[in-house]
Amino acid sequence: MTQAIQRRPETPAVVRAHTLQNSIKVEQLTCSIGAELSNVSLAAAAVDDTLLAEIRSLLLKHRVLFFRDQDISRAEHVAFARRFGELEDHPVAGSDPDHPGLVRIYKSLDSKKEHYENAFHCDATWRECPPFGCVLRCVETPEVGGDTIWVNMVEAYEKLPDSVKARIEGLRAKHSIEHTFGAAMPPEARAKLAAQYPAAEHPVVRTHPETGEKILFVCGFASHFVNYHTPQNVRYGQDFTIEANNLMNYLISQAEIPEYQVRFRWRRNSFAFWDNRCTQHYAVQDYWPAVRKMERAGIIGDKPY
Amino acid sequence: MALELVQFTPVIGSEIRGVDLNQVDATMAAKIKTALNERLVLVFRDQSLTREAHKRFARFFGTGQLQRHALSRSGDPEILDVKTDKDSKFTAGEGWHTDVSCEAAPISASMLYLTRMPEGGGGDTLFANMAEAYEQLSEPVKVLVRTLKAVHDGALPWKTIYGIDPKPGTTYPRYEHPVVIRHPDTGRAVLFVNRGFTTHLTGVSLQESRFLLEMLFNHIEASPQIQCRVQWRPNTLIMWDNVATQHHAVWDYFPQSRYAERVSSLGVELSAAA
Repeated sequence: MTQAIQRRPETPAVVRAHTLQNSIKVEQLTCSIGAELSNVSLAAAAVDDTLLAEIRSLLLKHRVLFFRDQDISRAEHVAFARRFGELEDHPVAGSDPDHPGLVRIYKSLDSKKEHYENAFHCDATWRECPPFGCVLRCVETPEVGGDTIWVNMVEAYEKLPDSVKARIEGLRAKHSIEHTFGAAMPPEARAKLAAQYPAAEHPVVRTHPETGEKILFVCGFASHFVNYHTPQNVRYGQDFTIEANNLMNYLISQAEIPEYQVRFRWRRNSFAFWDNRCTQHYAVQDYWPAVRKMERAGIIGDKPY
Repeated sequence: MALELVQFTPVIGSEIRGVDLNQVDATMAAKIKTALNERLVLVFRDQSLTREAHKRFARFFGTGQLQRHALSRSGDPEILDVKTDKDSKFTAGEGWHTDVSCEAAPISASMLYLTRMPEGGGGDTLFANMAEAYEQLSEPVKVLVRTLKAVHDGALPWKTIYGIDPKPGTTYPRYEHPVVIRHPDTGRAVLFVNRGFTTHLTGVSLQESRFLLEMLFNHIEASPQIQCRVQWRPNTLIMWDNVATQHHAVWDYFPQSRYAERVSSLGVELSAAA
């Protein structure tokens, strides 16, 4: 049974594996997206079909789920994520040697103080089949700083003006790792990365494979439209690229609208589980030189349509 | 006694604990002012504030004079009632803006007291640190924007967006400010253009103005590392340094109702950053 509660409990739930299995508490964090689940252990859920089904349906409803105080092992983290599909490694960020598929996102004093590296994005849309979702654990975080924002891209699509919806119907875009993760690499390394991961082409509006919802599906990985320069649009040579670029910028900037967002403050052993098909996120880089360590299990997804 | 502060993010926003705003004296106000200069946004929970105490608190800040709100419907021009419900066509501040930047001496600090939360939650407010916004521009762009001035016009939000005519025989305020101002208290350089009121840059072509402003607005909106997002509860008062921040009131609770009262302390005319 899922029970909705309005107010944060006075003390956080004590979570231990194999206990408290039947009463997930759900606290919605904004009107649009995100819910904090308490009274549930991810380790217990990994071996309990009923709990797992409940979490899956809550994920479809709230798009990102948060769990506090999950003192579980890396193996249990991986086991929970594996219940939703195979895991993928990342070509740039390395994985934990003992737990393939558990990608390490570690930042410290030695990391570059980089204000410009982040953007609102959906994970790995440069793949033919971008992730279904990710299960991210906070291993270490500064007392303040390093929040993450998620965005509801179903709502971002729904709220577009009808005229824009009509213009983008049937449009497709290229997504590439070359002009994003590869941008700061030397040319040879960038060319190698691009050869290994050729740009993927996705619909600008994708359909959620489970709920059927329409999703605005361009983000910082999208470089350009591939089928917008039609004879109806173009009068002279490249004259339509300005319109195309402005439209792309407008669509990408929809993720910046706070009405579609939730901002989550991490603690050690907080987990986030997001549906990568219908959300974007942004890891706020405001804490340098503090240490922030995250571990992410990315679950392989379907080809967008 | 030092104030107990809990930070929201490294660069902006703190909750202050243990202060009853009905009881603030000059000593306490000075401490709050120091905290405000440092954190730019201060959140006071569980207050039970009368309208008079709200105004009394506000007179400790800025010039000590209160803003007389052009759009006040409360009967007291020093209190702006913010009421959003199922019949609202817009809500106050649902876009990134500085309060009333169209005046020669814009508001120094605003104090918003929430009296009714939307049922089911929502209605958060985001704030951005505009000194950080300036700091995080690249060096060549900093040099460029320091030389520019911009026109801020009350007719942009109130007439063009909201469709409200000024009182007969009057026009809305309009003023030209430096794009990068010197904060009157801290001396920090602050980026001072906002999508709410800024219509164009002067001394450059209209085309240059359009693209430069768009670049600056987007820099603010696309930079969560200079922002915080604050969740309200009933009887929360949030105070912000209006010169050094912008804010965005999230309207995600339609058709539910949200009521608040704002009192604002007047500030001084702004000079360009050195």
